[in-house]
Order: sequence, then structure tokens, then C-alpha cells
Amino acid sequence: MLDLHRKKIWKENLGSYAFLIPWLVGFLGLTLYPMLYSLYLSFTKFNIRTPPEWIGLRNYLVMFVGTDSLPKDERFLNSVMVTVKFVFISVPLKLVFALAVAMLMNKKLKLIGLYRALYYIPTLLGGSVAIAVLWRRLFAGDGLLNMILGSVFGMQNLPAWISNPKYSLYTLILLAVWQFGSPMIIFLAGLQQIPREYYEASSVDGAGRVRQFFAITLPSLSPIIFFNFVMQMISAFQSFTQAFIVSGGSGGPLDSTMFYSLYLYIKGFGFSEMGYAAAMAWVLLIIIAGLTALSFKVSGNLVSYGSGE
Amino acid sequence: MKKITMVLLFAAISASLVFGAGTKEQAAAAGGPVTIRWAYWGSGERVTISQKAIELYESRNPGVKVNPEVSGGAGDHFVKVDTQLAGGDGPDIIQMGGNIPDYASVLLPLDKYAGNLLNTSVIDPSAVASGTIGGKLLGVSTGVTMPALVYNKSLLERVGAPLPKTAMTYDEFRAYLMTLKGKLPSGVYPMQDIGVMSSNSTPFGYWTRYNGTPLYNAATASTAVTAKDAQKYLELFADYRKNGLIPPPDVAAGYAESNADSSALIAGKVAIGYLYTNQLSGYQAATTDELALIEFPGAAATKALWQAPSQFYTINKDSKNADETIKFINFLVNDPEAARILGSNRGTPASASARAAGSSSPVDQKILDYMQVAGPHTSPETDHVPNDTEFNSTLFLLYQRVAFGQITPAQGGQQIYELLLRLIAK
Repeated sequence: MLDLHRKKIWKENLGSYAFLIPWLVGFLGLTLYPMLYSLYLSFTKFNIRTPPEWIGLRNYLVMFVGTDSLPKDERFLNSVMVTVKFVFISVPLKLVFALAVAMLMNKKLKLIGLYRALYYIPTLLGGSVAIAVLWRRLFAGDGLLNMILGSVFGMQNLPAWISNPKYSLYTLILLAVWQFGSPMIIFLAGLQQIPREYYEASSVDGAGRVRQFFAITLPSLSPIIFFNFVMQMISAFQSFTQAFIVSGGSGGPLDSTMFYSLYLYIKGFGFSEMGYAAAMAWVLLIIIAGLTALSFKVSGNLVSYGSGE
Repeated sequence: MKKITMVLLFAAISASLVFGAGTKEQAAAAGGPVTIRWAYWGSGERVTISQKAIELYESRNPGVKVNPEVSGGAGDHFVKVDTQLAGGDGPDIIQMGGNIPDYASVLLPLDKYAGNLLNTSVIDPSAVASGTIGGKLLGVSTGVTMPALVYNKSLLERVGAPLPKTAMTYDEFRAYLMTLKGKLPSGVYPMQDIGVMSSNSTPFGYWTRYNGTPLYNAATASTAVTAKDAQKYLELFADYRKNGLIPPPDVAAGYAESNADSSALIAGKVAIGYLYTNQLSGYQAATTDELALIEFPGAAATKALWQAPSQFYTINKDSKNADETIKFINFLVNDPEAARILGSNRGTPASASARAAGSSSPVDQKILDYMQVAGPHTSPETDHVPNDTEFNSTLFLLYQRVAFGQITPAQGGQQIYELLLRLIAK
């Protein structure tokens, strides 16, 4: 009886499985297999030109502690520090900026559609090579910024922002914050979901703008803020183009813009250590997964989904 | 029943999506026009003249098409080629530099073509020898080239500074830089910090030869450089930096110096830079100022300069059109008309028949004049340090650490020494 039932369900679902096949083939061949292969490569020494050679955990050991014959990879640890600094400065700044602009864009103004489109443009351009080159020129020693500071404000002896290790990372953070478009759009959608009555009721009770922001807007938006935070954090960890172009592919000066993914690329393709690069990719996956899980755990008390009333 | 048909139908469609890609290639292999894929790196002028040579070849050989695959710099070129090779889709011709031994396993030995499709009898024996790795001819030299210092002659004339002698000692050179410093406007420095270059260890390599301690000996797998030697080099430049003879580190780091487009010399920020002679025409094309060449200091007494095969044309061992590809390479290196088009962009030709075509270009004449003086100040090239790319990249980082004052020259010297040992052992 039960068996017959099962058979029937299987038969009914057969069509659905058939429809799944194209996707399934792609998933197995183009996603799962390369992933498992990269996991295998991470335990090998592989220079692309000769077959991989199994070396067990050595790649991972070199990253964190070093082995008897090989020292700990200082540049790896530096790239982790640079990336973490980049993520935890640029993401909060970007979210604050995106929320502020979204609140402005939420007003009923003439041509508001045009403004929304205009403010989204940097996001479309920001990841491009042309903008990274432009950034290089803006913040160079004889770049536009220093020209303005020099001629308008009469400032002297200005640093070359982009090629000075003290400031170079901050120019990249600025570039990241400037691309606030996608979280802005999501915030805007969230703001429009908040019922007007909340604001009307609270203003009857005498709440000012600031009070309304902290008592209504922020709590109502908290799931969206959280969503934006997680998404932006993940993509910030994977940043590559800006650093690659701005530093001429070197992560310099002094490895100050050596992002994790840039170092991975240099190790894999520059130094022909594909096994090591594969191991780095897996460590990055674990870092991102760990931080995302941590965010979910911490967010429990901070995020209100509003349905539990 | 209907359902079964549908299932089969979808299975067939999805299978064709996956396997369909393979059938197209097989169709193209039989007969028809031949396409040669030519991967090289370079900018501006090299792309233009290479295209002209391709057009000439295609007009003489109907049915053969040459597709260039160009990268801006050597770094990008090898990343792209490595990826293509790993994917089994490498180009037919791969432009190669001093790292040719690293690629020996993926290159086609050309010995059986020498003397027939490839006329090696007119090519300088030293150039043939430099393309021979482990007893096999793997690369055809594109020409020879020499490291040189390049100065902005027009700039020096404008500020009323004396022009440099072609051969100087290090003491004379430093005194000359001091003279320049007095003449140049603020913000323009006598010389680029030629250690701060992301893609080249040549100036350091030159200095180690001058110092009598070559970087690497492949036969004994050892280096003659000690931590003390490397420290001396770092101190030499620390002295220049302190005296304003080279730019401060953050200014120097603003120029990648990977080609003319990212050069401080072309940007007008320094009076003296460094290049390989085959780069002169590209640099000259990027500026209206007149450029000229001098030797690295101290070469006359030590013969520390060297002639290097500029680059090689090599062939991917999996090339499907090896014969046609070799004919094309033979055309590039030996044909007089091709030689006139290509000039000295990839080095002064190593083929007698190409050189016989002569040159009307003033830049090529300057290179010939320079080689006339510097030629006797040379000795055979030092072997390349294994893992060349990593050596350049890490040396660059260590050099910058010293330049920015993060570590002392003594610590830097020690780290360069350890780097050399590690790369040799790797």
C-alpha cells in the first residue's frame, strides 16, 4: 500500500525531475565538480604546467604556522588584516551613507525618479576598470585632489594618497563607499514598507524626527539593515578589481592594498602556486561562512521581524 | 507513455547542451583556412607594427589568418597564457622572455624544422644557443637587447644641465646626479628610484654583477650574493634618496614603470630612467622630448653589462598548425621586409638577413651607437633565478619596505638573502 503510494508520487514527479536535468547537469559539472576539484588541489602542490602532487596539509600549515622547512607566510596574514580592515570600515560607512541617501530619496519631490537613477549610477560604474584608473589620477601626488587642496586651500607638502601606504587603503574604502547604490535601493524599498500610521500616531504623541527615526524607522528596517550588512560584507571580502587596478596589480605600496583575493590571484597565477591559491579560497569560504553565522547569532536580539506581536 | 516521451526528450535536449559544444570544433579541423593564434605582450607601437607584419604575411599567403592576442604587460600575458594552457586552449605562438626554462615542458622542440621551414643558418649562433634549453631548440630569438639608462635629453637642454657621458664610474655618476639636482625644478628628480619597480629585478641583477656576486648559478644551484652585498645595494639607494637624487618613496611608487605609459621619465618627473634598448622606440613614441642612452655606472671596468635575447617566439606543443606557425615565425625573424616593419621593437635582429635590410629610424641608430660603446663592456648573461616572477614581486616588496623606512637596509639585505635561498630551494 505504502509502496504503491510511493511509486505513484515518484511517477508524478518524474516530469519535474526531467525539467530539472539541464540545471542539474550544469550544477554538477560546472559548480560541484570544480569545487570538489579545488578542494583536492588545496592539498597539492600544483604549478599548472605539471600534474598536481599531493602534499597533505602543507598549504594550510604554511598559511598559519609554517612548517619545518617553510616559514609562516607573512604576506598571507597581512592580506587577511588588510581585508578585514577594509570590510569593517567600508561596510558600516557604506550602509550609513546608503540609509541617509535612501531617506532623502523617500521624500515626495519632483523628479524623484531621476534623482534615484542618478544616485544609483556610481554603483554601475564603480566596479569598472575606468573608474579605478580615474581614482588613481584623482588621488595621485599630482592628482586632482592635491591640486584643489593646493590651489584653493593653499596646502603644501601633500602626500601622494594612493601610493602612500598610510592612506592607500582609505582611498579604496572611499571608492567602495561611493558605490552605495544597491543597499540604497533596498533601504528605499524597506522605508516604503513602513506604515505611515506609525509616524502619524507617534507625532500625535509628540515624538520628534529624531525620536521617530530611532523608535520607528530603525527597528522596522532592522531585518533589511541586517540583510544589507551580510550581503555587503560577503562582497567586500571578495573585492579585487579596485585594488588590482589602482595598485597596478601589485597590492602595493608595501602590500597596503593587498586584498585577500588579490593575493590569492598573485599566488595562483603570478607565482604558479595553484594548490596554495585553492587552499586560500577554501579558507576564505570558511571565514565568510563563519562571520555570516556569527552575524546571524548576534542579530537575534537586534533584528525584529515584527511578526511576533 | 506520453510522459516517457517527454522525459526522453528533455534528457536529449540537456545532453545536447552539454556535449554540443564539442562537435563544432571537429568540423573546423578538416582543411579550410588556417588560423594562427599569436600571443604577445606590449603596448602602442608594438601592436601597430605587429599588425602591419601580419597584414603583409596574410597578403602573401592567402588562406592563412593570424590572430594576435595582446596583453599590456608580461605579467598579464603569462597569467592569460597559463590559464589557456591549463584549459588545453593555448595559443600557437607564445612570446616568451627569460623565463623560457619554466615553460620547457609545454613547448614544441623546433630542431627538426631548423634548416628547412626555419632558416637558422642566417641567425647568430649565440641567439640560437640562447633559445636552446636542455639540448632542444625551444625558442627563436626575436633579437638581442641590453639594459641601459635612458635620459631625457630635451629636458636637460632646457634646464641648461650638461649631458651625461655614456660610460661613468659610480662616483662620477653620483656627482653628475648632484649637478642635475641643482639644475632641475622642484618636483623633478635626477633619477627614478629604479629599485621600486614591480616587474623587474634587472637593476639589482646588474649591480650584483658589478659587485662580482652574480644572483644565480644554475650549474651549482647557488647564489653569490650575501646579506651584506644586498645591504650595500639598499644603502646605495638610501643615500640617493636622502640627498633627493631619487624621488621620495610614495612619489616613486606612483609609477608602475611596467611600460612607457606608466613611466616617471615619460611623465616628466625624472631625468634618468632605466630600460632595455628594445623599449627605446616605444618610450620615444610616447613623448615629444628627445631620449638618449647611457650605460649603467661602472660597466667599463667590470664588464657587468650583458646582451640578452630580448624575447623568444615559442610554439605551444599542442598547436594544431605547427608547420604553418613555423613558416610565420621564419617570416618574422628572417624576412627583410618584415624586418623593416618590425625594426628593433623586439630587440635588434639576430638574423643577418634581417639586419641587412637596414634601418632608417633615428631611434634604431641610437641603439646601434649605444651598442657600439657598451658592447665591449659585456659578459655572458647570468642565469635567471628560479621562480622569476616571485623573485621580482617579493624583491619589490622588500625594497619598498626599506624605502618607506619600515626596515633598515641591514634587515632588508638579510631578507633579500633569505628570499634568494628560499626560491633556489623551492
